[in-house]
Amino acid sequence: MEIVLETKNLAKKYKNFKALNNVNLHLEKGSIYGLIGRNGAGKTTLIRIICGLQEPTSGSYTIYGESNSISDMTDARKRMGAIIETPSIVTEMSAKDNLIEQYKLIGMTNYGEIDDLLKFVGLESTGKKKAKNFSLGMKQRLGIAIALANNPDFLILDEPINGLDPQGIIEIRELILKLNKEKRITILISSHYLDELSKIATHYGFLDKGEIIKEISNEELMKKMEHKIELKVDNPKEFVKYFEEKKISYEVIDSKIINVYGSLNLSKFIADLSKRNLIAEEIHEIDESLESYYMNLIGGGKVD
Amino acid sequence: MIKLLDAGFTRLRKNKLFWILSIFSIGLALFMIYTQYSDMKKYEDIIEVEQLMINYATIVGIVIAIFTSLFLGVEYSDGIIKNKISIGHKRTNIYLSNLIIVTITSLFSYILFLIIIVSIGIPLFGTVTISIRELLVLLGCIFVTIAAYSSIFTFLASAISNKTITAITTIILAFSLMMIAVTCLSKLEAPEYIQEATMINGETKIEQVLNPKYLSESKRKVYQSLLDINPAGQMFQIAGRVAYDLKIFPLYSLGIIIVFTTTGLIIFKKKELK
Repeated sequence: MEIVLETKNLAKKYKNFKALNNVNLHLEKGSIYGLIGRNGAGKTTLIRIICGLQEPTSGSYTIYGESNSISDMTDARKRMGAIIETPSIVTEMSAKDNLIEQYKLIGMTNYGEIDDLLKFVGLESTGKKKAKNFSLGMKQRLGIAIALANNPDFLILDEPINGLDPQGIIEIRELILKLNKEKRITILISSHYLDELSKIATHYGFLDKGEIIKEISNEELMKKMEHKIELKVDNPKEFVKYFEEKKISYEVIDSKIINVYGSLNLSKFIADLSKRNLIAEEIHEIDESLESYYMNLIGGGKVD
Repeated sequence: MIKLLDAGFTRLRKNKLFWILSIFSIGLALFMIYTQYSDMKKYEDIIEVEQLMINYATIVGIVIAIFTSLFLGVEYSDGIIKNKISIGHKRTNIYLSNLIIVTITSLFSYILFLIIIVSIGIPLFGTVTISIRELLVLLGCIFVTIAAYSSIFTFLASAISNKTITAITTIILAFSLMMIAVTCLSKLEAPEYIQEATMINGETKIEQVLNPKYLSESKRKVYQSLLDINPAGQMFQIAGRVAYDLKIFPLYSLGIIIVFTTTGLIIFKKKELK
């Protein structure tokens, strides 16, 4: 799988504060990578560095194989579009004029596609209305249209649904999915709206206190988030033998803990174990969400 | 760079501030013509049209400060700089293109003023009374000083990310440069001798005495240098036609442009954008 973005031990220090600490991130082509972390975790700092707004204190990153340590990444950045915190729009100009401005910035002289682009983001009927009179959702969509002007392969969206109303959130979510599916754009999206991210992301990176503490695909995560039964046992080998025999999906967490996945009936499951003389010290039934997974991961609390 | 300039001038044309600046230049020229014409009619004053042409120089610094801070301030407040960098434009090119746009717009404002003065002023007051060469030297010096002003304010607007702070800082600086220039000029223009009246036996006697405020030779050099380096000082001397050596002004202005642009580029290239 082609890697679009890779960071290697990326670190950023502001005086004595470590905003990023040895961040290692891998973003595969075609994915929607959800960067999850609480406020101040380092999401925006990471995005600012990737977009060239700030320099890392140490470490490096590559975009389409071009490394920041050996070039100014001008060519790689030409394949990127980004919205960092707030969309980069000239509020005194209309949506169309903003796109003309962007086309000029990237050296495109054919403005024929502008109307299509406006239609794509649902702003075709804004006419001469200045962007300062747009709703937050419209501004966000215009920001995305601007970021799409150079037909990027890679789009970075920093907190794109912040402050949006439910309708605006749905519109942006659908737009992101459309971009990924129809235009095959790889997307890095940061957010602390976990529920929203879980609806679109194909991969996740969990950032806490400036460190990526876990990278996981949506598939793996779904597996982990399935209904599961956690067993605390003395003799895991015997249990594993039984699960293999019965083709039960399981995961040995450590020498005492085994997680069993799937929609098992707890009382029947316990009865079956007893028949085999497999006695667990403790049995917990767990339903996990992205939120509880995240909280467990950062040590913010356990959800049983 | 061409792309940045193209986009920048497009934004400029759509910018309300640019049109306000243009209207101000035209309005100022018309106002000056009107007041001078009234004086000519009322007091039979002889109006030298070239004086009208160079008068705008005294306040153009404030106009450039306001324009630059508000036009470039938006680059930060609307995220335009972030966008330019993230799509692959080099910081050096961004800085230089902004400097070029500010300088050309400031020059445009002055040229617009000149066009009105020439097209209406010459028919009303007659042709210029100095040689064309002299006039071109005066205007040339003004234009280079405008470029120096632009480099100072572009430096500030690029170094400060907050539009309001940029506006306050640049305007305060523009006024400060003017105040420093006025102070230097008044000190330099102080007469060497002043008249002092004394009463002796009920009789008033007026005598010439050495002015204590008259500057010593070394101090005169310092004040004159301060006046010559200061863009506002250059403009006051040009407009007042009291400059002892016009040739030195473009040299000082070029020095200002080089120093501020080099420093500005170094700072801007290292600036952490948020």
